[in-house]
Amino acid sequence: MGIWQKRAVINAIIGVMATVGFLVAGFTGGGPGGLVEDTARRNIAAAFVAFGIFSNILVTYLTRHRPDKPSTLVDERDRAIHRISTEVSLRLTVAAVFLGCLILYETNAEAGSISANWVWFMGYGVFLVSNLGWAVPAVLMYAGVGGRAEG
Amino acid sequence: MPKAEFTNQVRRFRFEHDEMTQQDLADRCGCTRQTIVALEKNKYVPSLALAFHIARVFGVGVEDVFTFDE
Repeated sequence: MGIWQKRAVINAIIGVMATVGFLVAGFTGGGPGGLVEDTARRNIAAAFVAFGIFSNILVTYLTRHRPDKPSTLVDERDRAIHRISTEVSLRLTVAAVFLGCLILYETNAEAGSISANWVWFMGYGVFLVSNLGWAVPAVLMYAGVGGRAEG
Repeated sequence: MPKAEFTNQVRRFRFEHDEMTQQDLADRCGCTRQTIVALEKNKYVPSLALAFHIARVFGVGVEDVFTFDE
């Protein structure tokens, strides 16, 4: 397994853990609607996102290419997969924000306002969508699923 | 534009050259062994530069190793 494939696998595992933890914290005990009042639940949800972000940074640093270590060689196929998965992540993040805003609008249009809790929830959630949106396609492409990359 | 089908004979040429290993070919071409594996399984289409590298390692032309069918 190449160094960037390891990065994708580790980030996918961390991303799934962080996402599950964030969703459980967000949707239990009253759902995202009560996050402003429930400080403990909000802090737990934020902690899962912070875990995901900082783990991602650490893994990226640990899996960087080092010219003195041949085992960390990154070649054109790695860059091609990275390029495609970055594009997928961007599109998924845009889609998630769009759908989130639209759903919030449709469900709150009559009320004329949106709870700040949902804005907080969406803001933090976007990081997880972005991370998983990169890692999962990369893992799949390294496994040869969904066609082939081109250099 | 009709769909193109890329195939290659990398594995065959590798065996014909003293049963060269995938790692050995990867080292000579400056890529990872995983890329050679993906190439041989037709899971990856190499860039022109890599295709030329591979052909030169085998001492043949690019079109002897890689085939492009429409």
